Amino acid sequence: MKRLSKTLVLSLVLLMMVGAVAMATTLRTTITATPESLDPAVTSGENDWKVAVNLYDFLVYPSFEDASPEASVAASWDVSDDSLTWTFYLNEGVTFHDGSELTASDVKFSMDRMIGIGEGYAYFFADRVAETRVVDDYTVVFELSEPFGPFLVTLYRLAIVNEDLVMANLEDGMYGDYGDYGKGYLLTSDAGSGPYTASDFRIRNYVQMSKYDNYWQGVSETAPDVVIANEVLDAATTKMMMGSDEIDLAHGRQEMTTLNSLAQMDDVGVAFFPEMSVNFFMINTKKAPTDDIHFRRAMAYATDYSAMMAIYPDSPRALGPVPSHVFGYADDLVGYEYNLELARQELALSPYADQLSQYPIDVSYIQGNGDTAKLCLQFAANMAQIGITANLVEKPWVLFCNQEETIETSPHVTNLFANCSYPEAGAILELKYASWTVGGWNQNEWLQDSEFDAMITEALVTVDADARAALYSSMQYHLVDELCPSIYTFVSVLKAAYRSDVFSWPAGEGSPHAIAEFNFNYRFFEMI
Amino acid sequence: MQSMPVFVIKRLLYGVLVLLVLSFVIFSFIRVIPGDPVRMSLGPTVSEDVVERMRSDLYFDRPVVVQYGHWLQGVILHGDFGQSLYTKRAVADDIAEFLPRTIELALLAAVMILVFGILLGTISALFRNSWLDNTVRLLSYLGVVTPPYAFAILFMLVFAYYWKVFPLGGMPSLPPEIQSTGMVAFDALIHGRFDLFGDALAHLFLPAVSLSLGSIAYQARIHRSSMIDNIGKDYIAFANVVGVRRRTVISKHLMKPSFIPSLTIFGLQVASLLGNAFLIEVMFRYPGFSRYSLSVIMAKDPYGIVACTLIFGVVFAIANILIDLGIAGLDPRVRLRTTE
Repeated sequence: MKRLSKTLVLSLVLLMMVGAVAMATTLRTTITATPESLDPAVTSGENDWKVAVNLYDFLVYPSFEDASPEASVAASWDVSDDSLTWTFYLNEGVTFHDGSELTASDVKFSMDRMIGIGEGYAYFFADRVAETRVVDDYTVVFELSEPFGPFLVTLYRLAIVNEDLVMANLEDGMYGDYGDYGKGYLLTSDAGSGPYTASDFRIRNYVQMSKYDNYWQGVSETAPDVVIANEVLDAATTKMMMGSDEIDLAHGRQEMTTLNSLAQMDDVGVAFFPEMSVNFFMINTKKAPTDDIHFRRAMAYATDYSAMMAIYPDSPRALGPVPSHVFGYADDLVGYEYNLELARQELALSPYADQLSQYPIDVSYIQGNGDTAKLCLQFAANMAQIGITANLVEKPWVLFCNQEETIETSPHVTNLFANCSYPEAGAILELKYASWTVGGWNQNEWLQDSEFDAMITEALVTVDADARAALYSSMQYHLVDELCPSIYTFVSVLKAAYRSDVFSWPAGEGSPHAIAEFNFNYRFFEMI
Repeated sequence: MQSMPVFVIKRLLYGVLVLLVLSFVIFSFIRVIPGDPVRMSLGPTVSEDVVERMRSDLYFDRPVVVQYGHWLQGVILHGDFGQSLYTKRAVADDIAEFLPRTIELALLAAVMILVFGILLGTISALFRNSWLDNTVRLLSYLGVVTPPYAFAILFMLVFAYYWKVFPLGGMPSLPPEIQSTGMVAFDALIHGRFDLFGDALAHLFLPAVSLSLGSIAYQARIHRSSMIDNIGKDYIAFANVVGVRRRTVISKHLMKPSFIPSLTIFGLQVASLLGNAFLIEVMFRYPGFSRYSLSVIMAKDPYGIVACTLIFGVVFAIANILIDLGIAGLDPRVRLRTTE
């Protein structure tokens, strides 16, 4: 009898275990590329951060609605009157995935490490954070060398790493006593305290994350236990995988035809979320004939914005370089409209008006970059309406970047999407137009305008939010009305097809997070 | 006069010399092409100091000869192929991860080419001008003219999407505790993980068939022609006249000489499988070396490109030597010429 009871109890336990295993939920997604690295100090790509927001915690976390800072690892914070000393008071009981407690020392280490490595988003802090001090286990102070208005929101990119774990896994490297600063280890492993741990990462193949049950903020039982993100670029494969139930969520950068096919499948919904990103036709302002302001304005008036937006349906119009939902957007910016009469009037004022046949313009776009080829075709057709010949040149990403190294090799016009790396106008304005960011894919304009440089410098050191927003607005008027260095078509909207019978998520319910990557914090997903 | 070992050593030395020249040429080309790979890898926002530090660390701030010498020294002394700017880790680690998977895929495809190519060629030749011969010839013609990616799409649609007999792509990962060669199916088999072995084989099947069909068709055509040539030879007629059994004539007197052109073609086909696998690996999301090679080329990853070129070169060189040895083994006239 005793033996029978024991057997029954054992069987019951076994059944419960089997049941628990059977209940484990897995969410299968696709991404355009696996992260370049799991190390948050070296990466800045979209795919990298879709993963990083799950593996790591941050002092402050962006709110869903408008990306304003909310308490996270830091329960509260204050700033000195001169805006140079920022003190953060940490929550107790935050644990890393190895069970050790997250303390102020880890925050200091993470900041020092990020600046020391100098990659990824280190440029936010490199010349601004003079010192990071640990006051006690739960208080950390950042001493800035100059005021930095967006400091708080740039902390969304300071992922806190486990100092002890990283130091225990140093390899030989170029950082003196710190060896490789743990870059080798963090390439494929995580040292975070986020709601998920990296359980398997195969570079250029897939990344698998498992729920961290002891997450300090708690993870809902309905959140997926395991998330597998496969690198899938091919449209046909994506459709077949969705159709044969091999994936539950497709990445949001599908071409419209693919997205339409996916959306027609049973139980497939489409989540829309605007990115802090604008599609630009970037005009080289230092090369004839686009060096002339009237020529550029003529191009801006000749662009059929409605036709462009029809290629990317549901994308809101961009009147300037800053998306309308980003802090610092100039509310009453007028921008340009499709008006061939005005285009011809502007063109007539240009010194190149009588020599258009001698000045065809090159329009370059990136191979395989969604439907941007169609945008450029539309653009060329629009330019032909006012007598400008536009020659389209498709380039692989590498060559596209290479051509931007000098003014001479930069085409007259290039098309791409540019993104705010932190949720403020200053991010995109600096990246796109400051004189110190020329020579890369981000600035075909070669603006090199001293007035703009002075304005952006002043804005970034302005801590008062209203004053900073006013400065951002002035810069947008200066750019759009006086310089016209780019043609702004629309704000990028990600459209992710997903299996609505498998899971629900805020973006699918019409409440997307203000920062695109943070929509992929799987803690907020609910498996059905 | 030279012995077979001397012949092999000579061929090997020629191969090494060619690979050295090839790697240096590739190195020089990469340095000449406009665009700074280090800056591109780190992005436009990283400070010039950091870019300079990495350039120095990767020897991009030295003359190309110095950089090449340093790289070659690393390869020879430590098996170190440099640092990949694409995967941000040692290229040797990339090779160790990706190459075995492609070798496994290529081996499976090679077995299919050899078995089915020879089988179909033999049937076709033995039943020359029959409906069987005509069918095989038609199918092999179709096989030769159809690109592998067309097969891939067809198979994915039929066998993976509609019938769901095979997975759509990918490859299960190999748990570190059973990793011996890096070939997933093989390692699973030798460690008794039959569930993983079956899964890996299922993932390998469609890419391998897509990759091999064109070569099977070509192999069948070559083998058929070769057999038909030999069927008409006097010694076959003599063997038939003196009453040697048909099976013996075919297996002993006809197959062996007919293998010589087939083997030459087979060797080259197998060597080129690595290159042909580019599209197949991309389409099936197969995490292999060909897909990796394509990616490093697109990313202009200098050390990755040179390593890939070198690996492909080595495979072709070894394949050529093996073909020569195989032919020498089959054909006494070649053995004689080699030693005279």
